[in-house]
Amino acid sequence: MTLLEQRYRFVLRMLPASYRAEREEEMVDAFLDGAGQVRDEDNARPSWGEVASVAALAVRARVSGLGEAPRGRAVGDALRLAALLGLGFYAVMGCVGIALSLRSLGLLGSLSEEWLITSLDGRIWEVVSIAAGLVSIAAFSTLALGKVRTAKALAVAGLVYALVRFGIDVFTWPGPIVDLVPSMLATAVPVLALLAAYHRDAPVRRSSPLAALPLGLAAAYLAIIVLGSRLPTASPDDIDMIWAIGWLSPEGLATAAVVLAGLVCLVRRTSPASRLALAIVAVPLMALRAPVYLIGASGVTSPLLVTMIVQCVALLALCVTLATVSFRALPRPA
Amino acid sequence: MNMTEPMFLALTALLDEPRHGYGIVQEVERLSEGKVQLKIGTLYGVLDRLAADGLVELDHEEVQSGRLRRYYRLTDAGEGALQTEVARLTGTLRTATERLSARQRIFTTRPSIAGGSA
Repeated sequence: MTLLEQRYRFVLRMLPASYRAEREEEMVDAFLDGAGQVRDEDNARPSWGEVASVAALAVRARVSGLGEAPRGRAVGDALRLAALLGLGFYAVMGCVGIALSLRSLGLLGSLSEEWLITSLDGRIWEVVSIAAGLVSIAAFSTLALGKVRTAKALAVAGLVYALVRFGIDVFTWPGPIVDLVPSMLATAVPVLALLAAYHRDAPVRRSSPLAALPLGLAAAYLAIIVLGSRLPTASPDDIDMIWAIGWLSPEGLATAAVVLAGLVCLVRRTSPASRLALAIVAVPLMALRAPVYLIGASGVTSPLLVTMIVQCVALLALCVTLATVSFRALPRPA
Repeated sequence: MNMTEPMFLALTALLDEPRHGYGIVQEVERLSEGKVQLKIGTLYGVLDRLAADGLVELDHEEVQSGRLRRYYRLTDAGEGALQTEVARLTGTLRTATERLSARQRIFTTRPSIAGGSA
C-alpha cells in the first residue's frame, strides 16, 4: 500500500463504517486511478478538495435522508426537528421583538413618552432589530413551507447579523465577554443543524399552518403579557414577581415546554429521533438559561438566579436522559 | 427531481456504456470540456442519489491489481429522467436563443443614439 493510499484511506475514515464497508475499495480505486503514478518519495497527499468532498459525503451519510442507513436517517430526522424547533423559537422571539420595537417607536399601542425611543441611534437600532426579527420569521416560515434553500440563506443571514452584533458587543459590553457567549451559541445551533441535516436528499415536509404558528404563539404570549400588566402593579421588590419573570420570559416558557415535551417523550416511548431532537434543543436552551450574568448578584435578582439554575439543572438532566435513551434505541450501524 | 449539473453529466457519461468510478470522472470532464472535475467524494454522493432514485445500477464488478472496480449502467428510468431533463434544457435554450435574436434585431434596426454630438 502506497503512502498516498494510506492517507486517502485515513481521510475515508470520516465516513460511517457501514458506508466504508460498501464503498471504500472502489473509492480508493477511483482516487488512485486519478492520482496516476505517485511514489512515496513524492510525499503526495489527497488535495483539500478531495478531503472536503469526502467530508461532505460523510455529513450526508451520517445525517442522511433517503436511501441511507436507518441510523443515519434517524439522526438526520432528529437534527431536522431540532432545526425546526430552534428556528421556530427564534421566529416567535422575532414576532415578540418586532411588537416591542414598534411599541418603543410609538407605532403600536400607547407608551408613556419617557419610555419612547427618540434618539436617532436608538431608532436605527430598533429598525435593524425589526429587520432581523423579520428574517428570523421568514427563515422558519420558508422552512415550514419546504423552501429549504431560501430558509438556509435567511438563517445564515440571521446568524451573520448575530455575529456582527456579537462583534460589536465584545467591544461595548460593560460586563465580561463570557456573558455574551451563551446567546451566540443558542443562535448558532439551530442554523448549524439546518445546514447539516437539510441536504439535497433530506425529506421535506410542507405545512402552511406550521409556517404561521410563530405568529399565533407570539400573539398568545403578548396577550398574556398585556393581561399581566393590567393586574395590580407589583412592586419591583415583590419576590413572587421575580420568580414569575424566570418562568414567563420566552426562554422560561420554552424551557417549561421542552421539559414537559421531554417527559411526555420518555413516558410515551416516542421515536428515538424525537427524543434526540429534544436533547439537542435542550443544549442551546441551557445556554440561554445559564445565569452567568447573575453570578454574584444579590437582592431581588437572587430568586431569578435560583430559578435559572433550577431550569438549567432540569434541562441538563433531561438532555442526558433523552440522549442516553435515544442512542440506545437508535438502529444499530450496519 | 431536481437534477444538478454533476448528476446530469454523470447520467450522460453512462449513456454509451457502463463505466467505473474514475471512468465517469474522466467522461464528465470530457463532456464538460474540463469545466466539471468531479472529486471522488462528490462522485459517490452523486452515484448514491442516482442509485437511490433508480436511475443507475450496478452493472458488474472487476478486480484489477487487487482493487475492486464497480461498473455502473444507466437504467430505463435513468434514460427517461435524462430525456426529461434534455427536453427541459432544450426548451430553455430555445427561449434564450429566441430572446437573444430578438434583442439583436432591436439593436441592429434601432437608429444609433451613441456617438453624441461630435
